[in-house]
Amino acid sequence: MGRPKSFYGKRVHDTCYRRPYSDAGLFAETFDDQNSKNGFCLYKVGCKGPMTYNSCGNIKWNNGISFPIQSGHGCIGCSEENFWDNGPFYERTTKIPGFAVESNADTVGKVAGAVLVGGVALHAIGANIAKRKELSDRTKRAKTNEKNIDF
Amino acid sequence: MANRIVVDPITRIEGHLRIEAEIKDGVIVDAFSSSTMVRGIESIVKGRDPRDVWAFVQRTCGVCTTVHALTSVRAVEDALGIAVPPNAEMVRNIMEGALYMHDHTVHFYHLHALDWVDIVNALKADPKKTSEIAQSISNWPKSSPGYFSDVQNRVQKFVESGQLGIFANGYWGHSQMKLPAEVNLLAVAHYLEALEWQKEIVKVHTIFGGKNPHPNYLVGGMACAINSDGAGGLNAERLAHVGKLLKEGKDFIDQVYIPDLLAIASFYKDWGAIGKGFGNYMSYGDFPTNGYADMSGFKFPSGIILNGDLTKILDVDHRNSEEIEEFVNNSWYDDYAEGKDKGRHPWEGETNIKYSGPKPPYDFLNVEEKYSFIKTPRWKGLPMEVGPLARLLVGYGRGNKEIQAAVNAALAHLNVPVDALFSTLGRTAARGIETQLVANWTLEFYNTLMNNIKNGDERMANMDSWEPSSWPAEAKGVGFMEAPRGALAHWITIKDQKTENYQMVVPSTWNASPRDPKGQRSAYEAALIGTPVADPELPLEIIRTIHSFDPCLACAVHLYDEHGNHISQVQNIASCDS
Repeated sequence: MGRPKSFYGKRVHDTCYRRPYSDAGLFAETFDDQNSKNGFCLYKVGCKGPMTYNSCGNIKWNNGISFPIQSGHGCIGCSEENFWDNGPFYERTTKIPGFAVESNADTVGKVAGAVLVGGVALHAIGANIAKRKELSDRTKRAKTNEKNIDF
Repeated sequence: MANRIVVDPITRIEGHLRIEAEIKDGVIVDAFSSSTMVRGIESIVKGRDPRDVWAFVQRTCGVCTTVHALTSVRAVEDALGIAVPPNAEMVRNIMEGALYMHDHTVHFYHLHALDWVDIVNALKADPKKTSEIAQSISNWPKSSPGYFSDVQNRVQKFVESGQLGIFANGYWGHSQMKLPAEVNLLAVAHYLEALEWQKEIVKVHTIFGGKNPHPNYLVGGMACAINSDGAGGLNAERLAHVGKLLKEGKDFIDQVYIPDLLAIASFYKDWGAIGKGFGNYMSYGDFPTNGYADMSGFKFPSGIILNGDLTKILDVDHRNSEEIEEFVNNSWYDDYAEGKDKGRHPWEGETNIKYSGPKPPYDFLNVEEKYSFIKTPRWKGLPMEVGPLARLLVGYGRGNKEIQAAVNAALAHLNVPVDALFSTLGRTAARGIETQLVANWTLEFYNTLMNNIKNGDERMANMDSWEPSSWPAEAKGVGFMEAPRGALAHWITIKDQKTENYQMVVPSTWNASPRDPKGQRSAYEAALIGTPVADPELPLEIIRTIHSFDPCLACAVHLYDEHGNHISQVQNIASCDS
């Protein structure tokens, strides 16, 4: 996308201080449960860190004070293309290929995930059809509005 | 013959506002307020998960960031019958309080003060005298002659370079600028200090919400789980940091903002008789201390004042379709099916844009027909003014001792009668008075939060109704708050776990809207009637009154520009006979 790699080279997940919990399989199951108090990974409550390229984990916000994950809310992926329509914020990210521990784990994932892929693909197709319809409805609405204020 | 002048855009506001005013014998005899941008956020959230909506609507505006998020989660919680834990209520209060502290101070120094303060004139000041004035009104430490001399040198360099930057295009040297050079210098110094200060207080949002602008909210509570002695979550270090930020924020307000406000106001007491308007005021009330459902515990009481009568405060009901209605008779939307002159309660509201104004570039709007993208809200058919003045007057009329004491102290200090509140000066003073109140309350909220935690209550979110499968097939709710600029409410209807309809009626919609079917003016238009204008080419007085409302037009409407063109012509100041 032509963005500087210093800031957009890594996923939020890669520089997240909660990453060790993710690698250890420790996740918040819902907001304000004991796991979220412990500061575990927010992936299961919808964090888009694994599919979002940005440096919030490094630079943080407002002179290094915090960033969304540090304050207990998942990343909503706001620097990703078309992010508003990349699925609800509190649903687990479905882009499994992007979600992996490290590049070497992708290979692991491929093997282990072979059985899984069928199921995921079916789910993805269903979700995609619904999403496409919603997107096209939205585009139609936007076009009508646009026409009405065109000079 | 009246002379019509156009101010477009009104600058030093958020968004895009146009005022057309007719002047006769040096006085405004009629005025039209128009927003030439459109908001489409309501259409965007249709069909989405109601738990996500706060994030969309919050991005209506980055200035009063958080207000639409809070109002949205309150609307969804209302629809689904969710009560948030006391800690979440306090965190929301603290964030809102920090917003007031930030927003009002920034408005005073950076958006409004330059209507009263002559930057260039500050160069003529004697820094030693400025220092004496500063020390006589406040114990703020930055007050030495050397300090003010340095500030003066900085401004001198700006002016000599011919690059005034943010200070370009002011009404410098205008005959209505009344401050002595020394007070101008004082205000300029604090303008610059406030710029530095404002980036600190917003860190409260960052700690609780992860970032500013647009911190994160959560339906059911807040996401910042408490873990006092933990490495993650909201621990003791984070909470102590918030306390420090709030105390420092309060110091600046007590020792800089308020003394400056009173000092500047004392030179402009004549503005206590200008810009009154129709005298109807509305406050929804806010800052719950005993849960959002218990309005008797609100720090700002709710209520309605008609014709400036403080002895009789009426109640407001957001759910009653007979009370709050929006009209589009003068707005660029499709007329409602039931008729051009009918209003709709926001639960039945719609956003079908239909521009019918002139093709730009144009000199004047045709105010005989539709002339704004803002709809016209009414309470029982009456126009209402909302904002800091409305809140304080309602609180005053409701007999709230704290609010009465703060208002009376300011009136006594300025030695002006109660009537002076109903004015341009009254609005600007009310904003400062309430900032001081809110700064105190925010520390109370902070202490309540800390005590709760010490007593072992660490709940931050109520997740009982989080899963959409637990929701009824249909639900509707309303969320309201007092945003810094005034009464704000969102109405949502939910069907099959999705947002079916969403309507926002925001403070600047009440204040900046065009006329209703009965021809009644809204707050901006009404407040301008009778305002003197010394020089139609430099209509400083219009700016003063409009800025006293703190317009935020991104919220009233929202820029929609796919083609990279301005939808309205940018026409700074024009005048012609009409």
